[in-house]
Amino acid sequence: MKRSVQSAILAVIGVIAITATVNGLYLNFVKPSLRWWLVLAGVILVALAVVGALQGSDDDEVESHDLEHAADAVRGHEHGSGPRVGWAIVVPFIILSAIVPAPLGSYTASRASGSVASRPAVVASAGDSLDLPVGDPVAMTLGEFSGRALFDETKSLQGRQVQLVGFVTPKNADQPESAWFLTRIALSCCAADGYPIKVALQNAPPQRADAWVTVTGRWVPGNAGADDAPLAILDVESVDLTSQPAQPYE
Amino acid sequence: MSASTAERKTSHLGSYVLVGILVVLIATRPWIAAFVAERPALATWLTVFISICVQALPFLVMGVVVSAAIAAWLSPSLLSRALPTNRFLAVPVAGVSGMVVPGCECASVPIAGALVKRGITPSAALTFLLAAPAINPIVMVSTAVAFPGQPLVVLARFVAALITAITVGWMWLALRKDSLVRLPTRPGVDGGPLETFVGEARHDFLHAGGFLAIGAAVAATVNVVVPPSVLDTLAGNLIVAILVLAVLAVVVAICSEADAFVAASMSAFPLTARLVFMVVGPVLDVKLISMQIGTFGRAFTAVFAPLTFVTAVTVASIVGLVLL
Repeated sequence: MKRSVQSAILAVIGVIAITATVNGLYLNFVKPSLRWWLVLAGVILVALAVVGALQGSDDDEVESHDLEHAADAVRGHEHGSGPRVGWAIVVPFIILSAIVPAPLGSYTASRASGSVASRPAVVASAGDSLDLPVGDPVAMTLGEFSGRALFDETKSLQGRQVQLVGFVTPKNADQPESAWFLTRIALSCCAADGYPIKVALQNAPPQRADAWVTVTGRWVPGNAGADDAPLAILDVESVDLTSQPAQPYE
Repeated sequence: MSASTAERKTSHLGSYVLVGILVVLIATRPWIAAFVAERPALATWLTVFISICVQALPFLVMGVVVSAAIAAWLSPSLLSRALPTNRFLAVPVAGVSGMVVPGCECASVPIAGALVKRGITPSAALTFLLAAPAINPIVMVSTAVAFPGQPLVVLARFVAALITAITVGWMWLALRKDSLVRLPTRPGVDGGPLETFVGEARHDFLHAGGFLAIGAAVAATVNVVVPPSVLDTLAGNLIVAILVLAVLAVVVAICSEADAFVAASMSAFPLTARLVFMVVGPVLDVKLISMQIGTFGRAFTAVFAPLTFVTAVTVASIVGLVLL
Protein backbone atom coordinates (compact mmCIF):
# COMPACT_ATOMS: atom_id res chain seq x y z
CA MET A 1 0.00 0.00 0.00
CA LYS A 2 1.63 3.22 -1.10
CA ARG A 3 2.12 5.97 1.42
CA SER A 4 -0.27 8.31 -0.38
CA VAL A 5 -3.02 5.68 -0.27
CA GLN A 6 -2.39 5.12 3.44
CA SER A 7 -2.79 8.83 4.10
CA ALA A 8 -5.92 8.92 1.96
CA ILE A 9 -7.48 6.14 4.03
CA LEU A 10 -6.73 7.99 7.27
CA ALA A 11 -8.21 11.18 5.84
CA VAL A 12 -11.38 9.43 4.65
CA ILE A 13 -11.98 7.79 8.03
CA GLY A 14 -11.25 11.04 9.88
CA VAL A 15 -13.67 13.05 7.76
CA ILE A 16 -16.42 10.43 8.04
CA ALA A 17 -15.98 10.29 11.82
CA ILE A 18 -16.29 14.07 12.13
CA THR A 19 -19.24 14.22 9.74
CA ALA A 20 -21.06 11.50 11.69
CA THR A 21 -20.95 13.66 14.82
CA VAL A 22 -22.13 16.76 12.97
CA ASN A 23 -25.17 15.14 11.34
CA GLY A 24 -26.03 13.07 14.40
CA LEU A 25 -25.56 9.74 12.63
CA TYR A 26 -23.16 8.56 15.32
CA LEU A 27 -26.10 8.27 17.72
CA ASN A 28 -27.32 5.21 15.85
CA PHE A 29 -24.21 3.40 17.09
CA VAL A 30 -22.73 4.93 20.22
CA LYS A 31 -23.67 7.09 23.19
CA PRO A 32 -23.76 10.90 22.98
CA SER A 33 -20.81 11.08 25.41
CA LEU A 34 -18.48 9.85 22.69
CA ARG A 35 -19.11 12.88 20.49
CA TRP A 36 -16.06 15.04 21.16
CA TRP A 37 -13.76 12.02 21.36
CA LEU A 38 -14.85 11.10 17.84
CA VAL A 39 -14.23 14.63 16.67
CA LEU A 40 -10.76 14.59 18.26
CA ALA A 41 -9.93 11.23 16.69
CA GLY A 42 -11.10 12.51 13.30
CA VAL A 43 -9.01 15.66 13.57
CA ILE A 44 -5.91 13.65 14.53
CA LEU A 45 -6.39 11.28 11.61
CA VAL A 46 -6.79 14.11 9.12
CA ALA A 47 -3.73 15.85 10.58
CA LEU A 48 -1.64 12.67 10.28
CA ALA A 49 -2.79 12.31 6.68
CA VAL A 50 -1.97 15.90 5.76
CA VAL A 51 1.43 15.94 7.48
CA GLY A 52 2.27 12.57 5.98
CA ALA A 53 1.36 13.77 2.52
CA LEU A 54 3.44 16.92 2.93
CA GLN A 55 6.46 15.06 4.25
CA GLY A 56 7.52 13.04 1.27
CA SER A 57 6.60 11.98 -2.20
CA ASP A 58 6.14 8.33 -3.11
CA ASP A 59 9.28 8.44 -5.25
CA ASP A 60 11.34 8.28 -2.07
CA GLU A 61 9.89 4.82 -1.41
CA VAL A 62 11.59 3.25 -4.40
CA GLU A 63 15.05 4.15 -3.12
CA SER A 64 14.52 2.90 0.40
CA HIS A 65 13.08 -0.41 -0.80
CA ASP A 66 15.69 -2.65 0.81
CA LEU A 67 15.24 -1.08 4.23
CA GLU A 68 11.49 -1.35 3.89
CA HIS A 69 11.79 -5.03 3.02
CA ALA A 70 13.80 -5.73 6.15
CA ALA A 71 11.45 -3.71 8.35
CA ASP A 72 8.44 -5.42 6.80
CA ALA A 73 9.93 -8.84 7.46
CA VAL A 74 10.15 -7.96 11.13
CA ARG A 75 6.57 -6.82 11.22
CA GLY A 76 5.58 -10.04 9.53
CA HIS A 77 3.79 -8.71 6.51
CA GLU A 78 4.52 -8.90 2.86
CA HIS A 79 6.01 -6.59 0.26
CA GLY A 80 4.83 -3.00 0.31
CA SER A 81 5.30 -0.13 2.68
CA GLY A 82 1.93 -0.43 4.39
CA PRO A 83 -0.08 -3.26 5.93
CA ARG A 84 -2.60 -4.70 3.53
CA VAL A 85 -4.97 -5.53 6.36
CA GLY A 86 -5.42 -1.77 6.73
CA TRP A 87 -8.04 -1.84 3.97
CA ALA A 88 -10.43 -3.51 6.37
CA ILE A 89 -10.78 -0.51 8.68
CA VAL A 90 -12.10 1.73 5.93
CA VAL A 91 -15.04 -0.63 5.28
CA PRO A 92 -17.24 0.18 8.30
CA PHE A 93 -16.85 3.93 7.76
CA ILE A 94 -17.69 3.79 4.09
CA ILE A 95 -20.76 1.68 4.85
CA LEU A 96 -21.69 4.17 7.55
CA SER A 97 -21.69 7.10 5.17
CA ALA A 98 -22.98 5.27 2.11
CA ILE A 99 -25.87 3.24 3.50
CA VAL A 100 -26.67 4.79 6.89
CA PRO A 101 -27.77 1.61 8.68
CA ALA A 102 -30.74 1.97 10.98
CA PRO A 103 -30.39 1.66 14.75
CA LEU A 104 -31.13 -1.72 16.32
CA GLY A 105 -34.82 -2.56 16.12
CA SER A 106 -37.37 -5.34 16.39
CA TYR A 107 -35.00 -7.99 15.05
CA THR A 108 -32.70 -7.59 18.04
CA ALA A 109 -35.65 -7.13 20.37
CA SER A 110 -37.30 -10.38 19.30
CA ARG A 111 -34.19 -12.38 20.20
CA ALA A 112 -34.31 -11.57 23.91
CA SER A 113 -36.91 -11.47 26.67
CA GLY A 114 -36.67 -7.70 27.02
CA SER A 115 -36.98 -7.88 30.76
CA VAL A 116 -35.49 -4.98 32.67
CA ALA A 117 -34.26 -7.53 35.23
CA SER A 118 -31.34 -8.11 32.85
CA ARG A 119 -30.32 -4.52 33.42
CA PRO A 120 -29.44 -4.41 37.14
CA ALA A 121 -28.68 -0.66 37.06
CA VAL A 122 -32.31 0.13 36.23
CA VAL A 123 -33.63 -2.14 38.96
CA ALA A 124 -31.29 -0.63 41.53
CA SER A 125 -32.25 2.95 40.74
CA ALA A 126 -35.95 2.13 41.09
CA GLY A 127 -35.27 1.41 44.74
CA ASP A 128 -34.33 5.03 45.51
CA SER A 129 -37.51 6.40 43.97
CA LEU A 130 -37.23 10.05 43.11
CA ASP A 131 -40.57 11.83 43.15
CA LEU A 132 -42.29 12.05 39.79
CA PRO A 133 -42.81 15.58 38.47
CA VAL A 134 -46.29 17.07 38.88
CA GLY A 135 -48.66 17.09 35.89
CA ASP A 136 -50.02 14.37 33.66
CA PRO A 137 -48.94 12.81 31.41
CA VAL A 138 -45.41 12.45 32.80
CA ALA A 139 -42.81 11.41 30.21
CA MET A 140 -40.22 8.80 31.13
CA THR A 141 -37.97 6.16 29.63
CA LEU A 142 -39.14 2.58 29.30
CA GLY A 143 -36.40 1.55 31.69
CA GLU A 144 -37.64 3.92 34.39
CA PHE A 145 -41.26 2.90 33.80
CA SER A 146 -40.42 -0.82 34.05
CA GLY A 147 -38.28 -0.27 37.14
CA ARG A 148 -41.02 1.66 38.94
CA ALA A 149 -43.75 -0.72 37.75
CA LEU A 150 -42.03 -3.91 38.85
CA PHE A 151 -39.77 -3.01 41.75
CA ASP A 152 -40.94 0.23 43.37
CA GLU A 153 -42.32 -0.34 46.88
CA THR A 154 -43.83 3.16 47.04
CA LYS A 155 -45.94 2.49 43.94
CA SER A 156 -45.13 5.91 42.57
CA LEU A 157 -46.94 5.15 39.31
CA GLN A 158 -50.36 4.68 40.91
CA GLY A 159 -52.97 7.08 39.61
CA ARG A 160 -50.54 8.72 37.18
CA GLN A 161 -50.75 9.01 33.41
CA VAL A 162 -47.43 8.28 31.70
CA GLN A 163 -46.10 8.96 28.21
CA LEU A 164 -43.60 6.56 26.66
CA VAL A 165 -41.75 6.68 23.34
CA GLY A 166 -40.55 3.49 21.69
CA PHE A 167 -40.84 1.23 18.66
CA VAL A 168 -43.08 -1.72 17.90
CA THR A 169 -41.87 -5.30 18.37
CA PRO A 170 -44.40 -7.92 17.26
CA LYS A 171 -45.27 -10.60 19.78
CA ASN A 172 -45.37 -13.42 17.28
CA ALA A 173 -44.31 -13.78 13.68
CA ASP A 174 -47.67 -15.17 12.40
CA GLN A 175 -49.73 -12.06 13.16
CA PRO A 176 -47.06 -9.41 13.36
CA GLU A 177 -49.32 -6.38 13.66
CA SER A 178 -52.00 -7.40 16.11
CA ALA A 179 -50.07 -7.93 19.35
CA TRP A 180 -46.91 -6.02 20.12
CA PHE A 181 -44.54 -4.81 22.78
CA LEU A 182 -43.48 -1.22 23.18
CA THR A 183 -39.70 -1.46 23.00
CA ARG A 184 -36.54 0.58 23.43
CA ILE A 185 -32.98 -0.70 23.15
CA ALA A 186 -30.79 0.08 26.17
CA LEU A 187 -27.03 0.42 25.73
CA SER A 188 -24.39 -0.51 28.24
CA CYS A 189 -21.43 0.65 26.14
CA CYS A 190 -22.42 0.84 22.46
CA ALA A 191 -24.99 -0.63 20.08
CA ALA A 192 -23.09 -3.91 19.99
CA ASP A 193 -24.31 -4.76 23.49
CA GLY A 194 -27.76 -3.27 23.05
CA TYR A 195 -30.47 -5.03 25.08
CA PRO A 196 -34.21 -4.54 24.53
CA ILE A 197 -36.53 -3.23 27.23
CA LYS A 198 -40.10 -4.31 26.53
CA VAL A 199 -43.37 -3.08 27.99
CA ALA A 200 -46.50 -5.21 27.54
CA LEU A 201 -49.64 -3.32 26.44
CA GLN A 202 -53.38 -3.67 27.00
CA ASN A 203 -55.92 -2.28 24.50
CA ALA A 204 -53.30 -1.30 21.95
CA PRO A 205 -54.40 -0.89 18.29
CA PRO A 206 -52.47 -2.90 15.64
CA GLN A 207 -49.19 -1.36 14.51
CA ARG A 208 -46.53 -2.16 11.92
CA ALA A 209 -43.27 -3.68 13.18
CA ASP A 210 -40.49 -1.15 13.89
CA ALA A 211 -42.86 1.83 13.76
CA TRP A 212 -41.95 4.55 16.27
CA VAL A 213 -44.86 5.54 18.51
CA THR A 214 -45.72 7.77 21.44
CA VAL A 215 -47.97 5.87 23.85
CA THR A 216 -49.97 7.46 26.64
CA GLY A 217 -51.55 5.28 29.30
CA ARG A 218 -51.66 4.10 32.90
CA TRP A 219 -49.74 1.48 34.81
CA VAL A 220 -51.42 -1.88 35.43
CA PRO A 221 -49.88 -3.79 38.35
CA GLY A 222 -48.69 -7.26 37.41
CA ASN A 223 -46.08 -9.17 35.45
CA ALA A 224 -46.59 -10.02 31.77
CA GLY A 225 -43.39 -12.04 31.50
CA ALA A 226 -41.72 -14.97 33.27
CA ASP A 227 -40.94 -14.93 37.00
CA ASP A 228 -37.22 -14.37 36.40
CA ALA A 229 -37.82 -12.07 33.41
CA PRO A 230 -40.68 -9.79 34.41
CA LEU A 231 -42.33 -7.31 32.04
CA ALA A 232 -44.32 -4.24 33.08
CA ILE A 233 -47.87 -3.64 31.82
CA LEU A 234 -49.37 -0.42 30.46
CA ASP A 235 -53.07 0.15 29.76
CA VAL A 236 -53.10 2.18 26.55
CA GLU A 237 -55.18 5.35 26.22
CA SER A 238 -53.69 6.72 22.98
CA VAL A 239 -51.08 5.79 20.41
CA ASP A 240 -49.54 8.32 18.00
CA LEU A 241 -47.07 7.60 15.24
CA THR A 242 -43.89 9.59 15.66
CA SER A 243 -40.50 9.83 13.99
CA GLN A 244 -37.36 8.07 15.22
CA PRO A 245 -35.77 10.20 17.95
CA ALA A 246 -32.31 11.61 17.27
CA GLN A 247 -31.13 9.45 20.16
CA PRO A 248 -32.84 6.11 19.51
CA TYR A 249 -31.31 4.24 22.48
CA GLU A 250 -31.80 4.50 26.23
CA MET B 1 14.13 -1.20 -13.12
CA SER B 2 11.28 -2.95 -14.89
CA ALA B 3 10.58 -5.00 -11.76
CA SER B 4 10.01 -1.94 -9.63
CA THR B 5 7.87 -0.32 -12.32
CA ALA B 6 5.68 -3.41 -12.39
CA GLU B 7 5.52 -3.32 -8.59
CA ARG B 8 4.39 0.30 -8.69
CA LYS B 9 1.64 -0.58 -11.13
CA THR B 10 0.25 -3.39 -8.95
CA SER B 11 0.40 -1.22 -5.86
CA HIS B 12 -1.71 1.37 -7.68
CA LEU B 13 -4.33 -1.32 -8.28
CA GLY B 14 -5.54 -1.11 -4.69
CA SER B 15 -6.35 2.58 -4.98
CA TYR B 16 -8.20 2.10 -8.27
CA VAL B 17 -10.27 -0.69 -6.72
CA LEU B 18 -11.11 1.49 -3.72
CA VAL B 19 -12.19 4.42 -5.89
CA GLY B 20 -14.18 2.07 -8.12
CA ILE B 21 -16.03 0.55 -5.16
CA LEU B 22 -16.77 4.01 -3.76
CA VAL B 23 -18.23 5.18 -7.06
CA VAL B 24 -20.40 2.08 -7.39
CA LEU B 25 -21.62 2.42 -3.80
CA ILE B 26 -22.57 6.06 -4.21
CA ALA B 27 -24.32 5.43 -7.51
CA THR B 28 -26.38 2.48 -6.28
CA ARG B 29 -27.07 3.90 -2.82
CA PRO B 30 -30.90 3.78 -2.87
CA TRP B 31 -30.94 0.19 -4.09
CA ILE B 32 -28.42 -0.92 -1.49
CA ALA B 33 -30.31 0.90 1.25
CA ALA B 34 -33.56 -0.79 0.22
CA PHE B 35 -31.83 -4.16 -0.03
CA VAL B 36 -30.51 -3.83 3.51
CA ALA B 37 -33.78 -2.49 4.91
CA GLU B 38 -35.62 -5.63 3.79
CA ARG B 39 -33.16 -7.89 5.57
CA PRO B 40 -33.21 -7.11 9.30
CA ALA B 41 -30.51 -9.66 10.10
CA LEU B 42 -28.10 -8.01 7.66
CA ALA B 43 -29.06 -4.54 8.90
CA THR B 44 -28.44 -5.60 12.49
CA TRP B 45 -25.11 -7.15 11.54
CA LEU B 46 -24.02 -3.90 9.89
CA THR B 47 -25.13 -1.79 12.85
CA VAL B 48 -23.28 -3.97 15.38
CA PHE B 49 -20.16 -4.14 13.16
CA ILE B 50 -20.04 -0.37 12.65
CA SER B 51 -20.79 0.45 16.28
CA ILE B 52 -17.80 -1.54 17.57
CA CYS B 53 -15.51 0.20 15.09
CA VAL B 54 -16.88 3.68 15.84
CA GLN B 55 -16.77 3.13 19.61
CA ALA B 56 -13.18 1.88 19.47
CA LEU B 57 -11.88 4.53 17.05
CA PRO B 58 -10.93 7.24 19.59
CA PHE B 59 -9.11 4.74 21.80
CA LEU B 60 -7.30 3.23 18.86
CA VAL B 61 -6.15 6.63 17.66
CA MET B 62 -4.99 7.65 21.15
CA GLY B 63 -3.07 4.42 21.65
CA VAL B 64 -1.39 4.67 18.26
CA VAL B 65 -0.43 8.33 18.74
CA VAL B 66 1.16 7.72 22.14
CA SER B 67 3.06 4.61 21.11
CA ALA B 68 4.32 6.33 17.95
CA ALA B 69 5.46 9.27 20.05
CA ILE B 70 7.34 6.89 22.33
CA ALA B 71 8.94 5.18 19.35
CA ALA B 72 9.98 8.53 17.87
CA TRP B 73 11.10 10.51 20.89
CA LEU B 74 11.78 8.18 23.80
CA SER B 75 14.94 6.14 23.88
CA PRO B 76 14.65 2.56 25.18
CA SER B 77 17.87 3.18 27.13
CA LEU B 78 15.81 5.19 29.62
CA LEU B 79 13.95 2.04 30.57
CA SER B 80 17.08 -0.12 30.64
CA ARG B 81 18.66 2.23 33.18
CA ALA B 82 15.64 1.95 35.45
CA LEU B 83 15.76 -1.82 35.78
CA PRO B 84 17.57 -3.50 38.70
CA THR B 85 20.56 -5.68 37.80
CA ASN B 86 19.23 -8.64 39.76
CA ARG B 87 17.49 -10.66 37.05
CA PHE B 88 14.84 -12.01 39.41
CA LEU B 89 13.81 -8.54 40.55
CA ALA B 90 14.02 -7.08 37.06
CA VAL B 91 11.01 -9.15 36.02
CA PRO B 92 8.35 -7.57 38.28
CA VAL B 93 9.83 -4.09 37.77
CA ALA B 94 9.63 -4.57 34.02
CA GLY B 95 6.06 -5.78 34.44
CA VAL B 96 4.91 -2.79 36.44
CA SER B 97 6.71 -0.37 34.12
CA GLY B 98 4.39 -1.63 31.40
CA MET B 99 1.82 0.72 32.92
CA VAL B 100 3.58 3.82 31.63
CA VAL B 101 3.97 2.70 28.03
CA PRO B 102 0.58 3.02 26.38
CA GLY B 103 0.22 1.48 22.99
CA CYS B 104 -0.70 -1.44 20.90
CA GLU B 105 1.09 -4.76 20.78
CA CYS B 106 2.57 -3.52 17.49
CA ALA B 107 4.94 -1.34 19.49
CA SER B 108 5.80 -3.70 22.31
CA VAL B 109 7.55 -6.35 20.21
CA PRO B 110 9.98 -3.90 18.57
CA ILE B 111 10.59 -2.17 21.92
CA ALA B 112 11.31 -5.50 23.61
CA GLY B 113 13.66 -6.33 20.74
CA ALA B 114 15.46 -3.02 21.22
CA LEU B 115 15.76 -3.71 24.96
CA VAL B 116 17.31 -7.13 24.36
CA LYS B 117 19.76 -5.57 21.93
CA ARG B 118 20.83 -3.14 24.62
CA GLY B 119 21.65 -5.98 26.94
CA ILE B 120 18.53 -6.15 29.09
CA THR B 121 18.07 -9.65 30.38
CA PRO B 122 15.57 -11.33 28.01
CA SER B 123 13.16 -12.42 30.73
CA ALA B 124 12.68 -8.80 31.85
CA ALA B 125 12.25 -7.62 28.26
CA LEU B 126 9.69 -10.34 27.63
CA THR B 127 7.79 -9.48 30.81
CA PHE B 128 7.62 -5.93 29.53
CA LEU B 129 6.46 -7.18 26.14
CA LEU B 130 3.54 -8.97 27.79
CA ALA B 131 2.61 -6.30 30.32
CA ALA B 132 2.79 -3.03 28.36
CA PRO B 133 -0.06 -3.69 25.92
CA ALA B 134 -2.29 -5.05 28.65
CA ILE B 135 -2.08 -2.73 31.65
CA ASN B 136 -1.45 0.74 30.23
CA PRO B 137 -3.85 3.61 31.06
CA ILE B 138 -5.61 3.73 27.72
CA VAL B 139 -6.53 0.07 27.95
CA MET B 140 -7.79 0.52 31.51
CA VAL B 141 -9.93 3.49 30.48
CA SER B 142 -11.38 1.70 27.48
CA THR B 143 -12.23 -1.28 29.69
CA ALA B 144 -13.98 1.03 32.15
CA VAL B 145 -15.96 2.58 29.29
CA ALA B 146 -16.86 -0.82 27.88
CA PHE B 147 -18.12 -2.13 31.22
CA PRO B 148 -19.73 0.89 32.88
CA GLY B 149 -20.56 0.49 36.55
CA GLN B 150 -18.35 -2.60 36.85
CA PRO B 151 -14.98 -1.43 38.21
CA LEU B 152 -14.11 -4.99 39.31
CA VAL B 153 -13.73 -5.92 35.65
CA VAL B 154 -11.05 -3.25 35.23
CA LEU B 155 -9.28 -4.36 38.40
CA ALA B 156 -9.48 -8.03 37.42
CA ARG B 157 -8.01 -7.29 34.00
CA PHE B 158 -5.12 -5.33 35.49
CA VAL B 159 -4.31 -7.94 38.13
CA ALA B 160 -4.60 -10.93 35.81
CA ALA B 161 -2.50 -9.32 33.07
CA LEU B 162 0.26 -8.24 35.46
CA ILE B 163 0.42 -11.65 37.18
CA THR B 164 0.51 -13.36 33.78
CA ALA B 165 3.40 -11.18 32.57
CA ILE B 166 5.45 -11.64 35.74
CA THR B 167 4.76 -15.38 35.91
CA VAL B 168 5.88 -15.95 32.33
CA GLY B 169 8.98 -13.80 32.95
CA TRP B 170 9.97 -15.81 36.02
CA MET B 171 9.24 -19.12 34.30
CA TRP B 172 11.40 -18.04 31.36
CA LEU B 173 14.20 -17.22 33.80
CA ALA B 174 13.81 -20.54 35.63
CA LEU B 175 13.72 -22.57 32.44
CA ARG B 176 16.91 -20.83 31.29
CA LYS B 177 15.56 -20.27 27.79
CA ASP B 178 17.53 -17.08 27.18
CA SER B 179 19.63 -18.84 24.55
CA LEU B 180 16.52 -19.19 22.39
CA VAL B 181 16.26 -15.43 21.97
CA ARG B 182 17.77 -14.52 18.63
CA LEU B 183 18.89 -10.91 18.52
CA PRO B 184 16.67 -8.82 16.23
CA THR B 185 18.20 -7.49 13.04
CA ARG B 186 15.80 -4.65 12.44
CA PRO B 187 17.60 -1.77 10.75
CA GLY B 188 17.43 1.76 12.07
CA VAL B 189 14.65 3.99 10.80
CA ASP B 190 15.49 6.89 8.51
CA GLY B 191 14.27 10.41 9.00
CA GLY B 192 13.82 12.76 11.91
CA PRO B 193 11.54 12.17 14.91
CA LEU B 194 8.50 13.85 13.35
CA GLU B 195 8.74 11.73 10.22
CA THR B 196 9.16 8.63 12.34
CA PHE B 197 6.18 9.62 14.47
CA VAL B 198 3.85 10.18 11.53
CA GLY B 199 5.01 7.06 9.73
CA GLU B 200 4.68 4.83 12.80
CA ALA B 201 1.30 6.29 13.74
CA ARG B 202 -0.08 5.82 10.26
CA HIS B 203 1.28 2.29 9.95
CA ASP B 204 0.09 1.20 13.41
CA PHE B 205 -3.37 2.71 12.91
CA LEU B 206 -3.88 0.77 9.69
CA HIS B 207 -2.42 -2.42 11.13
CA ALA B 208 -4.44 -2.33 14.34
CA GLY B 209 -7.50 -0.87 12.63
CA GLY B 210 -7.58 -3.63 10.07
CA PHE B 211 -7.54 -6.34 12.72
CA LEU B 212 -10.12 -4.43 14.74
CA ALA B 213 -12.47 -4.44 11.77
CA ILE B 214 -12.00 -8.19 11.34
CA GLY B 215 -12.64 -8.77 15.04
CA ALA B 216 -15.70 -6.55 14.94
CA ALA B 217 -17.03 -8.55 11.99
CA VAL B 218 -16.58 -11.77 13.96
CA ALA B 219 -18.33 -10.29 16.99
CA ALA B 220 -21.20 -9.04 14.83
CA THR B 221 -21.56 -12.52 13.35
CA VAL B 222 -21.70 -14.05 16.83
CA ASN B 223 -24.30 -11.46 17.78
CA VAL B 224 -26.58 -11.94 14.79
CA VAL B 225 -25.99 -15.27 13.11
CA VAL B 226 -25.50 -17.63 16.02
CA PRO B 227 -28.96 -18.61 17.36
CA PRO B 228 -29.57 -17.64 20.98
CA SER B 229 -30.00 -21.32 21.93
CA VAL B 230 -26.54 -22.25 20.64
CA LEU B 231 -25.02 -19.23 22.36
CA ASP B 232 -26.67 -20.22 25.64
CA THR B 233 -25.28 -23.76 25.42
CA LEU B 234 -21.81 -22.52 24.49
CA ALA B 235 -21.81 -19.87 27.16
CA GLY B 236 -23.58 -21.97 29.76
CA ASN B 237 -20.64 -24.26 30.48
CA LEU B 238 -17.92 -22.11 32.04
CA ILE B 239 -14.98 -24.24 30.91
CA VAL B 240 -16.24 -24.39 27.33
CA ALA B 241 -16.93 -20.65 27.37
CA ILE B 242 -13.41 -19.90 28.62
CA LEU B 243 -11.76 -22.09 25.99
CA VAL B 244 -13.92 -20.74 23.17
CA LEU B 245 -13.13 -17.11 24.00
CA ALA B 246 -9.44 -17.88 24.65
CA VAL B 247 -9.08 -19.38 21.16
CA LEU B 248 -11.15 -16.55 19.70
CA ALA B 249 -8.80 -14.01 21.32
CA VAL B 250 -5.81 -15.62 19.58
CA VAL B 251 -7.58 -15.83 16.24
CA VAL B 252 -9.01 -12.32 15.99
CA ALA B 253 -5.92 -10.31 17.00
CA ILE B 254 -7.70 -7.17 18.20
CA CYS B 255 -5.68 -4.29 19.60
CA SER B 256 -5.72 -4.12 23.39
CA GLU B 257 -7.21 -0.61 23.32
CA ALA B 258 -10.29 -1.96 21.58
CA ASP B 259 -10.79 -5.57 22.65
CA ALA B 260 -12.84 -4.51 25.69
CA PHE B 261 -15.57 -3.28 23.35
CA VAL B 262 -15.68 -6.58 21.53
CA ALA B 263 -15.76 -8.42 24.88
CA ALA B 264 -18.60 -6.19 26.08
CA SER B 265 -20.64 -7.01 22.98
CA MET B 266 -20.62 -10.73 23.76
CA SER B 267 -23.00 -10.37 26.68
CA ALA B 268 -24.20 -13.98 26.47
CA PHE B 269 -20.82 -15.21 27.75
CA PRO B 270 -19.96 -15.23 31.46
CA LEU B 271 -17.78 -12.40 32.74
CA THR B 272 -14.87 -14.70 33.61
CA ALA B 273 -14.72 -16.04 30.07
CA ARG B 274 -14.73 -12.49 28.72
CA LEU B 275 -11.93 -11.60 31.14
CA VAL B 276 -9.90 -14.50 29.69
CA PHE B 277 -10.56 -13.04 26.24
CA MET B 278 -9.19 -9.66 27.36
CA VAL B 279 -6.12 -11.11 29.08
CA VAL B 280 -5.13 -13.57 26.32
CA GLY B 281 -5.64 -11.11 23.46
CA PRO B 282 -2.87 -8.61 24.25
CA VAL B 283 -0.28 -11.31 25.00
CA LEU B 284 -0.92 -13.79 22.22
CA ASP B 285 -2.61 -13.66 18.85
CA VAL B 286 -1.82 -14.50 15.24
CA LYS B 287 -0.40 -11.04 14.65
CA LEU B 288 1.92 -11.23 17.68
CA ILE B 289 3.03 -14.75 16.80
CA SER B 290 4.17 -13.60 13.38
CA MET B 291 5.91 -10.54 14.84
CA GLN B 292 7.68 -12.66 17.46
CA ILE B 293 8.90 -15.07 14.80
CA GLY B 294 10.17 -12.08 12.83
CA THR B 295 11.93 -10.48 15.79
CA PHE B 296 13.09 -13.40 17.93
CA GLY B 297 12.94 -16.48 15.69
CA ARG B 298 10.89 -19.65 15.31
CA ALA B 299 12.54 -21.70 18.06
CA PHE B 300 11.77 -18.95 20.54
CA THR B 301 8.15 -18.58 19.53
CA ALA B 302 7.54 -22.34 19.59
CA VAL B 303 8.20 -22.29 23.36
CA PHE B 304 7.06 -18.79 24.26
CA ALA B 305 3.65 -18.80 22.61
CA PRO B 306 2.16 -21.93 24.24
CA LEU B 307 3.71 -21.01 27.59
CA THR B 308 2.08 -17.58 27.44
CA PHE B 309 -1.28 -18.98 26.34
CA VAL B 310 -1.56 -21.55 29.12
CA THR B 311 -0.42 -19.09 31.78
CA ALA B 312 -2.79 -16.37 30.61
CA VAL B 313 -5.82 -18.67 30.52
CA THR B 314 -5.06 -20.16 33.92
CA VAL B 315 -4.31 -16.89 35.70
CA ALA B 316 -7.27 -15.07 34.16
CA SER B 317 -9.65 -17.91 35.02
CA ILE B 318 -8.53 -17.95 38.65
CA VAL B 319 -8.65 -14.14 38.99
CA GLY B 320 -12.06 -14.10 37.32
CA LEU B 321 -13.48 -16.73 39.63
CA VAL B 322 -12.16 -14.89 42.66
CA LEU B 323 -13.02 -11.31 41.75
CA LEU B 324 -15.98 -11.51 39.41
